[in-house]
Amino acid sequence: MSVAQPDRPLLAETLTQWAEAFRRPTLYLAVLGYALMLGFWYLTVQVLKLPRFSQMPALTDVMREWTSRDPAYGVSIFTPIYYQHILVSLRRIAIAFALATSLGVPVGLLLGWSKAFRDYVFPLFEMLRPIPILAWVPLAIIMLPGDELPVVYLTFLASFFATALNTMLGVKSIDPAYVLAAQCLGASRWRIFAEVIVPGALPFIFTGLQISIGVAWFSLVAAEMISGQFGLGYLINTSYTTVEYPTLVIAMFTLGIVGYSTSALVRRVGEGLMTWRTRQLAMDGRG
Amino acid sequence: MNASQVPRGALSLQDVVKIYDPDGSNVMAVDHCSLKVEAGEICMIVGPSGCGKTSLLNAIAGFHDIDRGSIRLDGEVLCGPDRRQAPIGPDRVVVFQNGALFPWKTNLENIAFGPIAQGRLSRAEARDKARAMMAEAGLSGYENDYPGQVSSGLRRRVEIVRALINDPAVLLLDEPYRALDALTKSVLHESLLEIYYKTRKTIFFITHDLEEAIFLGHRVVVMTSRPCRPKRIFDVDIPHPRDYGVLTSKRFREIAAEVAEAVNEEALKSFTRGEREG
Amino acid sequence: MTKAKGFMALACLLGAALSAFGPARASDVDYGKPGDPIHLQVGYQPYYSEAWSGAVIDGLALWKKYLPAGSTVDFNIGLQGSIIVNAMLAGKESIGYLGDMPAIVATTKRQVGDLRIVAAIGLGYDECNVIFVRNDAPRFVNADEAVAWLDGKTVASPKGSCADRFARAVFEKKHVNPTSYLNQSIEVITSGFRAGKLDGAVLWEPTATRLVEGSLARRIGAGNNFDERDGAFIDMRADLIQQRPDVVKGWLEAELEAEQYLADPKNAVSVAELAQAQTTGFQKHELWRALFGEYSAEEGGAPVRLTLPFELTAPALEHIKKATAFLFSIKSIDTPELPSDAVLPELTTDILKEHGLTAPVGEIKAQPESAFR
Repeated sequence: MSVAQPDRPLLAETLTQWAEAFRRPTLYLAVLGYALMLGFWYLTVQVLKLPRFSQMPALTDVMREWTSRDPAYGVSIFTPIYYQHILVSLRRIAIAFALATSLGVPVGLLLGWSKAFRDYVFPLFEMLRPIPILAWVPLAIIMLPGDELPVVYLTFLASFFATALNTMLGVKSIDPAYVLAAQCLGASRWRIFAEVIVPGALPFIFTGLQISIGVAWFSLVAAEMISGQFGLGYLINTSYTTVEYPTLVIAMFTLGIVGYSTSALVRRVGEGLMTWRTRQLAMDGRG
Repeated sequence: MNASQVPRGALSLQDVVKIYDPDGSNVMAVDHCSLKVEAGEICMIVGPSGCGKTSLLNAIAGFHDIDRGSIRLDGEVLCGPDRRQAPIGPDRVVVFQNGALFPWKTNLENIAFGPIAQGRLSRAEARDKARAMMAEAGLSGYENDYPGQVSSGLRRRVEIVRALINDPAVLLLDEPYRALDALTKSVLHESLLEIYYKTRKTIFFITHDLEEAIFLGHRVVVMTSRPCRPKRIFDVDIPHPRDYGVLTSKRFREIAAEVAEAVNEEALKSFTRGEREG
Repeated sequence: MTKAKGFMALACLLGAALSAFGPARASDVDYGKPGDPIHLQVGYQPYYSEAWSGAVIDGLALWKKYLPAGSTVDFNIGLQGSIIVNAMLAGKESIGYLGDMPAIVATTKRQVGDLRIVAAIGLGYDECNVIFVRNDAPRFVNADEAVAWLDGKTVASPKGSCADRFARAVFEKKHVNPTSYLNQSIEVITSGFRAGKLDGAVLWEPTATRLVEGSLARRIGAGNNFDERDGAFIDMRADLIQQRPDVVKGWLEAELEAEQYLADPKNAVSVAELAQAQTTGFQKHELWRALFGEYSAEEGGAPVRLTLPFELTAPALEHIKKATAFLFSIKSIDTPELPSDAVLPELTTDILKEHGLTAPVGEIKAQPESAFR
């Protein structure tokens, strides 16, 4: 008998999953994991006062600053500027990631699919890929107009390379039998590309996208060094030079939380686009 | 699927030679192989692993070229001295060893793929026809499932329907049931025969399983070890339609013994030569 | 629950293992006993002319005369004072040459590290406090007008520096509100002017002179125009002061000699050469002009470029007090007043007394162009 489920709208399915999460032990284990880490921090910095650890900002100081209505260094959950930093960073990530995906996926698909394209482009691609972001800073400032564009460009770079490379590997990882089967069935080269290569590479592409969004967040911190005014990366860099350590830790935590959410979002979209895979993994007991 | 149509699918292989050249070592896979397969015949190819049987199938399907000789389908040259590689096409659909159903398409979409790709049917028409063929094959209810959700036996049946919907002249089956357990296999054998009785397609079937070969085939061609050519051809004179009762019949056992002897001889040769798994 | 217990046990074990390395008190460094040779880590700023006494000590190896035999000194370049402060708080450097803002901020982080201000090595009006506008800005009658123009514009300065403090003080005084006040490093600001992206910036010497001589931006004012001082100080770790008074005294003796060397106008070119050997990307003339050259009154120049107090004189202490209150008002530090022992004047006072000198130990007057040979 068929086990097909009716296709519920994505939102309803997500909410149901969240509600179910409270019933499963996984959520509580995650909370326990966080609690242990915080406990370790508290213990080593404030109770045991171990060497090197004792100089780190104390958990209670950070928490107090983070939740204060009038924080000593001006950044807490009650200050509007905190949310401004978050939104500015999110906006940059969104634009950089969108660009990296819309350029990286086609480039990766072509690199995997067309030998001619690969011969021309891959050597250049591989030469540019290892150049670190900080090396691009002067060129970015001079070449690109305005203040936002250089920051977005620097964030976009590593993301683009990660996406393109993973997409290319995705194409190459497709079992040749699928292509041969499609040819047997009379598919044109274009149809094979659209209906075999692209969906076949999709799992790799989405793995690449999850990596790419993480990479975008790393790059953001470096890129925001030149941004000058707002952003979580900017906040981290500035808290360092102004020796405001509690704010530094607040910014790091915030970045972790926001970054996690964006990765989860990408993952969720991937699962939605590849229901065939989710169901297959579920069948194998790995859902 | 009109049984009174002009029979198609007669294959004629003449003096086919295929040489692989990995790193200049010139490995001959197929050695002056000549074989005739009649239209509407189930022709079973058995032989030791690595002997080159799959190379033959690949040459017929057009997946690679041949170095010498020719292959004809219903009198027309597929590949020969003027054209070394046959065109790949829906007149000779392959069912692959590990299965090649597109995991990202539902069973229905998989089956409908061929006619749509060839432009013979519109999307709606193709889906209707696919649904009808699935019903006939006893696969109703699984249309909207993905291949990953259903059992491997079911997947194979879907893959065969995917091939059949294109009305091919020849069905090329490359050890399609190799990875399945005995119970599933026996169900699939009967289902394949059912399809054959309805459609009378020419079936070119490579297998290791001797019982499978004798149960299904009109003829069993035992290939030599590499490089392969037909060593002995056995006529399976057990009448069709067959069912599983046939397995215990005396004639079946006799043929099985003869085939086993022939295969064993070749198997020993390739074993002592340490051939790679085909 | 055994997994959690196991984790805690492991964490405690790790902590215990880590604490096996290092001295008894958690964050103290061990410098040895008085008289022992010492291996000092010093943070200094050859890219900040107000603190060039440190570069002189390095260039002329003056420390060799005053530290115990067998001592070594690593001079670590900090591109900005706050980098040195972070290193000192972490115990990686024990002596730091800092602008006023980082010098003050450094003393307010006792829970991380105990740093004290021990000497005032320079007081001026245009060594850190220099204001620039883009080359194609309109011509201004005076500095006030130029700063008023920056209202609604894009201005940059390295945050946490003496220039940052000056910029914000001036904006507050003159009720000027730039639309963007960007935190950018000197290099990024330089590129920004080159690419035409900045309207204004506030920077210290010698980069200020490089912008002028490279025609990258126009200098329109300095601390002179707004009655705002700038100052440079030496901070030291309290544990160094407690454990090695001999080293502290020796270093300050070297500092005194360096300041006297700076004060002598005949040494100007040689100081520029010393600085050039310790920096990259600067012409000798730029370095010379940064501390010893002239700037017109329109540009915010004045006859005296730098006073060398050495001791924590009344003007120096006044400057610290004023700056501290301001930094608190802009939420850079969490206290309006420094602890009473954050500044230690006696260390330098005693040395001056021994030498029979009074503060300031020198003054650097602007020299005409002809003096550069």
